[in-house]
Amino acid sequence: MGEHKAYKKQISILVYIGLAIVLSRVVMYLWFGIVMKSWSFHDFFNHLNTWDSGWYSEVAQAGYRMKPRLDGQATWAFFPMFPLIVNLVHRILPINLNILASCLSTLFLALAMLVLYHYVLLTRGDEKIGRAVVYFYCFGVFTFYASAFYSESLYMLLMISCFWFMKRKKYICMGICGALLSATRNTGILIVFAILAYRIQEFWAESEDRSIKGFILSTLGDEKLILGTCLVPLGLFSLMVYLKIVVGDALAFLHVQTAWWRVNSSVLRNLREALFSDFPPDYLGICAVVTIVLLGILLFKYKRIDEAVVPILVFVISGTSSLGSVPRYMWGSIFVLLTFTEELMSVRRRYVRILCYVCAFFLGLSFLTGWFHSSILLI
Amino acid sequence: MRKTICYLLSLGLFTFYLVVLCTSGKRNASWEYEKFYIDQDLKYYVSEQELQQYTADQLWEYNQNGQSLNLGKGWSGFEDLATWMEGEESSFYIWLDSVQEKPYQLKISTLRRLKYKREFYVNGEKVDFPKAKKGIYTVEIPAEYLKEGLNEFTIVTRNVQKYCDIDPESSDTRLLTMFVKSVELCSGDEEHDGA
Repeated sequence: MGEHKAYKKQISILVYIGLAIVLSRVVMYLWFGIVMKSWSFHDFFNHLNTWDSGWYSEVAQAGYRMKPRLDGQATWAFFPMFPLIVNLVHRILPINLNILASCLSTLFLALAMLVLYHYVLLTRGDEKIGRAVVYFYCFGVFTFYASAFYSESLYMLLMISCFWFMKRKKYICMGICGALLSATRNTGILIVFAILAYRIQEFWAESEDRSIKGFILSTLGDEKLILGTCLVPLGLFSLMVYLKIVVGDALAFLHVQTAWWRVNSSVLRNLREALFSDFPPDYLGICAVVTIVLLGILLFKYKRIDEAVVPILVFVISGTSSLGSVPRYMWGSIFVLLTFTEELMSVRRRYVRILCYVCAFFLGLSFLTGWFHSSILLI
Repeated sequence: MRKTICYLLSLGLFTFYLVVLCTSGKRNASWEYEKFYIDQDLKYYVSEQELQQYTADQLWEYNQNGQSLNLGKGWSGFEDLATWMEGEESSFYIWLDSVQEKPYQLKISTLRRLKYKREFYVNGEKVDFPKAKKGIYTVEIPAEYLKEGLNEFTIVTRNVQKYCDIDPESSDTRLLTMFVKSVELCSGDEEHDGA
């Protein structure tokens, strides 16, 4: 009887996620038709796959052998995992590359939502939070990234899978996901710090001997944890070897950033400029403030240090040059939006929650309009 | 047995990472790669072979029509009539197949010059930089400062301010110094008009 109930629950969540994904993509297409006054699928996928999608498409088609552009921008800035998957599938299914990439991206979003839901059940024990966060990812702001030729969906899937396996102490699987993650985006390797934070928290909670020596011995004594952690950088370092062979510089993915006019400043200075240099405040500055508040809640209220580590590091590293990518990176880091959802679900008044759902939907449409018009703020 | 395999694999991976990290500092990249990404001496990603076309005794224009790519650091993007020099150092390159004995003349044609003190260097050697006449700087360059191959010409401007701090009506935050239309390096064998 219990098994039957569990099976029914599994089916119901699969149906819920499936419906959320399909409906949200249909809404995107319908909104495109209304806003851009074109019902052509070709136009839709072209407008969906804008900005960095072109770069990922180049990597998928030609790898890293293409000569840099005159301004120095080159494919080495874009990590290979997702374009490689698209390239491999394209050999079996030779359809339009944009359409294929969008479909694969959406599939990875669906898988990410499935893992995320189960992760929420495991760590929060609350189905409502699980369903709500799926809703926000499918219908809220920035959902278009998850269906464009961007690495966001795959990154989210691998990130949440790493945490899922880590919490279940399946460290080799965690390591394999981590290796793929570090080949998906340059910030993927930061998950090693999340593993360290998780291990410290676990040791502190479970061990009587809370000494550094005790921590080192108990950690080193777990051979699967050691191997799993050692696997994580494999993706990044394999890319470095490849770049050394093709370009002559293992750090080409770092050096090429100069071509995007990134000047190292400081997060605080960029934040100050975004918020106080003009009125109304910059949209990026507002996103950054919201992120800081949510990360603060995650860290100090929920004390989930392992979940907070990666978004904090990504925020600081990316915000040092500019706040431009902060909203996208924070959306893709899972735990910022999850914290927002958790806080929202703790509000007793139902109408507040419903209002948030409605606002998220309409804000999502607004951002989607910006995306179809290739707004530089969403790059 | 499983424990040993795990530790051996971990050691192998760690060793691999260490080797890659230690060798990552050594590059085997092209000249233009080093110049553009590492030294950041080029504005455009052009090879040394492509820069060889930028020779003496030819006018090199920096505007939308004549997009000469022999620019080094310290330049903004091409505009309709000219290109702004930006920041404290701005450089450009000219190729010489051979160096004549007589002094050369470098003509820098400008449309606008903000009031700053400027110094001029040729391949690192300081050269007198006279005032502009009718917007054109004519610089006498001793032949011994030039060399066969790529020559670097640098204008150094001290204490550059944001343009919006100079002109309150402007919102341009760039560190603009000079609006350059063209450059021409004339060899000593040619007859030149005075500036």
